[in-house]
Amino acid sequence: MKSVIRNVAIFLAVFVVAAAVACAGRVEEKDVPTPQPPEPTPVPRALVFPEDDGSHAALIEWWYYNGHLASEDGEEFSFHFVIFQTQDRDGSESFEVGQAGITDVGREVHHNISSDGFTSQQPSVRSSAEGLLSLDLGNFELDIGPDGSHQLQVEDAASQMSLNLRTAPSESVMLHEGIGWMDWPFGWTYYYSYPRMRAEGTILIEGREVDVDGEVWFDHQWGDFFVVGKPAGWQWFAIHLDDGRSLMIAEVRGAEGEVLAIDGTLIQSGSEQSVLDLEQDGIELEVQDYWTSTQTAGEYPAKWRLRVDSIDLDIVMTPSIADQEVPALPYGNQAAAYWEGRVEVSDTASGESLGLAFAELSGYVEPEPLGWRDAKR
Amino acid sequence: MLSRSGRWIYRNRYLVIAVWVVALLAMLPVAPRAQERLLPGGFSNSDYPSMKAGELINERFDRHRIALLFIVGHETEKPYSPEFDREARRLIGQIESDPNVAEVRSYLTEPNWLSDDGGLALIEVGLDLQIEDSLVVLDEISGRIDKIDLDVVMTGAPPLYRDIVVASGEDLRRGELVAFPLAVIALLLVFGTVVAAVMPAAVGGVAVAVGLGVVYYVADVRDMSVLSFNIITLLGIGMGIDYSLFYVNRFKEELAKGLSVVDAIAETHDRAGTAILFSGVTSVIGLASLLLFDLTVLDSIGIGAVIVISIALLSAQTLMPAVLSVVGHRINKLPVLSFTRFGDGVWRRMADGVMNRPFLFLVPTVAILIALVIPFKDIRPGTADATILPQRYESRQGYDLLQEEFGWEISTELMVAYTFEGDPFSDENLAELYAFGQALANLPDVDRVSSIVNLRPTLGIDDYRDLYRYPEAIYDGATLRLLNESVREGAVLFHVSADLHPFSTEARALVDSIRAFDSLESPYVYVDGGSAHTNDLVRSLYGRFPLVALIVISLTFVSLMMLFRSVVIPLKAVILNTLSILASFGALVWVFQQGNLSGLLNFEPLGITEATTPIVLFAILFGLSMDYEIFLLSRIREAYVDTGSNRESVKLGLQRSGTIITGAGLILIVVGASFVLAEVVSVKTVGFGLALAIFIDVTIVRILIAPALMRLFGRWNWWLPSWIDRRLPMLRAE
Repeated sequence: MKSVIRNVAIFLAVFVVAAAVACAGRVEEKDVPTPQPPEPTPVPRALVFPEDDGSHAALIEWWYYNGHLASEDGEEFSFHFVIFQTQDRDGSESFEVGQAGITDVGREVHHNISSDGFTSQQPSVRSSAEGLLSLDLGNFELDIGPDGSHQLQVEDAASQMSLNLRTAPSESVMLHEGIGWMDWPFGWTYYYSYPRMRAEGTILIEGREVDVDGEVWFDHQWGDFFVVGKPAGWQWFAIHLDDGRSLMIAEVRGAEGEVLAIDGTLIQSGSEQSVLDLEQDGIELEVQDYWTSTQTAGEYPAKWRLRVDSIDLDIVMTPSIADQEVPALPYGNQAAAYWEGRVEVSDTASGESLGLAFAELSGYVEPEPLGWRDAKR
Repeated sequence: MLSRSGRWIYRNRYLVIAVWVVALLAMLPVAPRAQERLLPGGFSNSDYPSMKAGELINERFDRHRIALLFIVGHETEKPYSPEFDREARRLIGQIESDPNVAEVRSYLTEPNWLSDDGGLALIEVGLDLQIEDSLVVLDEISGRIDKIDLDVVMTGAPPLYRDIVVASGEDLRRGELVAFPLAVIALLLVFGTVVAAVMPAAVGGVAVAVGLGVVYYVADVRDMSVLSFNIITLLGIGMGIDYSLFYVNRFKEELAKGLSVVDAIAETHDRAGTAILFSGVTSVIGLASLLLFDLTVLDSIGIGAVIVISIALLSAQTLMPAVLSVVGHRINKLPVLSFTRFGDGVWRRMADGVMNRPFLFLVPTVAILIALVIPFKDIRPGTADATILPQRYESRQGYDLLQEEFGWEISTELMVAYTFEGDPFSDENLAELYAFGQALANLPDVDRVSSIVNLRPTLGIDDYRDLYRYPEAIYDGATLRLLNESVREGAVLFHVSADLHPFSTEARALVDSIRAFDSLESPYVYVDGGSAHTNDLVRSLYGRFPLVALIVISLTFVSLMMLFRSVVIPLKAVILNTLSILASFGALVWVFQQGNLSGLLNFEPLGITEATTPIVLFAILFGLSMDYEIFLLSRIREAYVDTGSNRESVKLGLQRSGTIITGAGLILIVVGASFVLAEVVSVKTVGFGLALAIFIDVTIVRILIAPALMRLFGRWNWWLPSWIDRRLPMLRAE
């Protein structure tokens, strides 16, 4: 009997082990975690050049150029060229798009060009031991060499337009807010400019190739911020005064359209620079005229009077061509159309020409309601 | 017990045969079409939380249920070149012309829908169909693609699903081609005559044909999954042959004793008929257990198997004796080489050897079984992915391309809908959403949460309040799309990513962690995704499995107790049966989940065990293995009643049943092993599990463990408390 019980026990034990094994692997419920505070905004660091001309890990980054060019025959052209890069929060994915505008001032011809497609980081950004940046979006290319020289190309085969420029490195870097970093209404950003870079190259406009040279304004901005349109937005000016001064003036509007700040940065000839503040420097920006786009119905400022008391500046800025509106990219918000173009600078009192500028006007086109909100209505 | 009915069948043999002929003629036209009535799919239940979440998310967020993916490339051109884009637009136009297509998105409008080298592009086709219905429109959509100068590879859930069904079908046909001749040879070897060998195949075949005819009509009134078809057929043939085999064998034995045909039929019907009846009942109990899982595919196997086994049982109880009544002594016609001629003394000597030193055999064999069971503790039940398909299928090639060329990683992707009252951008709701988004992001294993309140870790609730004062004014295309696609009045979607295999235990634990935010009284968190579905499936199946197994084991125990008038014998039978099944499960985990022997068996390790496989195998094997146990024990009991000697009865029982059980087992091992040659890993798995479990049962358990235990238990083998004895109906087995 004892041996029987022992043997039965052995088998029952085996069965219990097997049953225990079968029931293993049950999922345990975890405690509900409590929300953690967000990571603090990083403390700004000192920028290093030309290394910081390259790409950074940031939600958004752009390399922006505008310029005033002339041919040997004295024909005047202007352009703007920008490549936007957006990244995922972990930097695992990024994509770039490009936009450009070329203007034949004498003929009052203005063309916009967009990059052909959306390209990912892998094909377009190549880490190069020799260069700081190499972006190839097909019909948009931008290379920044190890010496800080920039080469940009854009072409639109359909309209026979292209621009091919080489720029020399600039010694005068303009660090906005003094350190090249600023709080924005919807985040934070590093921001600096090279206001005057010598450039030369060729423009192909309506099938006609012209050798050109001139001065280019370069803006580089990156950070964790959002660009928000109407009623938010901005008016931005990159002003080249004939006396050698370079001036950036920006009026930024907040979520409700309220003006948050009008400030700027000035570089006297050479590299001496100062930050201009609305109250301390007596900045006043007055819109004197408007232009309405037939494409987007956006009503854009079209003439300004700018006064900066501390530097004894009182100028009027007038667009060379009224319609220099840049359409929104196909994938984005249609309200992201903006106005970007050459403006002429003259003395308010005498009307005498004092230089050239570029203006950028953002947040003037009415956004469409979100699809589901529209349906609800 | 069944002696009188045996004689009745003998007297009315032509009538019985005529009834079966009529049944066969009635069912023959519809039996081959049974498969057409069965529906694809059946792996989900609309009551699963993930299914409810999927419904809610699809409905509220206008999402398409499923997507086809087209990977397009060109020999010389790259995406965004005019030639490439022109052809891609033509392709999109052709696809869009299909009325079933709800939406087409492509690299032309979506950022980053290119391969890493920029040479391939993606086109996604949204369909508002259930996966089952989408299979029907696949060919229709493919048919519309005409003369495109692009290389196109189609993948996504519907093509993968279709290819798995096609590849499994091909595997089964190939397996049957190998198995059938081998099974015929095994039958010839077992019976030694052509006539006797043909009988089980013929009667089994009639049973399956009639059974499938019944399935055809049942499928008309109740949804049945097409995935059950092959298992139903396999079981029908297997059981039909098994029952006929034992019946014919006993009949030959009775004739050999010098009995007349009518007496031999009566004796066979009385002895083998009762054993077959009980075998059938235990098989039906095992397979009917599948009805308790509330999953269409298991229901279908359960219903189909119960139908075909019942009919196989009926044919073995009626058609077989009627046919044998007609055939009579001609059963021994056309003799061929048989291993019965080597004598059944081998089995007697083996039993003797084992019983001389029971522990010498018991300890190592039990140790082997336990060693086989051990890997089962690491089982990771899940649902299979595309890697179960051979690489020659287009959908699998597409799946590989997505990983190799587009850098898609195998990860856990969950869609979580958070519901609330009112405007998502109100201060209160935004704060609640932000807290939920932060909590999700802080869950262990979560790599990334994508939502309107998880744009950047540096943004706090005040930033989001500012940002969403006029949400439509945000320029960024990706954020704008997120606002349009993931936000509704009263609901916001969160996309949670984790670097975990979607079918892993950790991924399922993550689903539970997210669901733990929910409130039972008023649910507001809904989780959808592969891991959520697997979680629901595994929880539903394995939550019930212990209870279902207990019911099956208990019912079988009671049946065996009635048959054998013993407590110890049924207990030993169910324990050994369970142990041999668990050993085969352990081996399945060791081989197919953990990847051992993957080179030899030619498969890619899955990392999981297909959740339904152990359950289906349990249901099949419990009945099947019990067949052998019943046939062995019934002969032992018969000998015990005759001789009164425990030891002699074991020797006689093994001697009289050894060849026939080995033959029957051999047929099933051959059938199972032939499916190991399959290309689809899940078919290979079932074949391997079946062959191994039967092998363990007919060798280790029956020849070694059973005699050793019978010897150790001695007279206690047939112990039955008198109070049970009085209450149990009296039956007589073979």
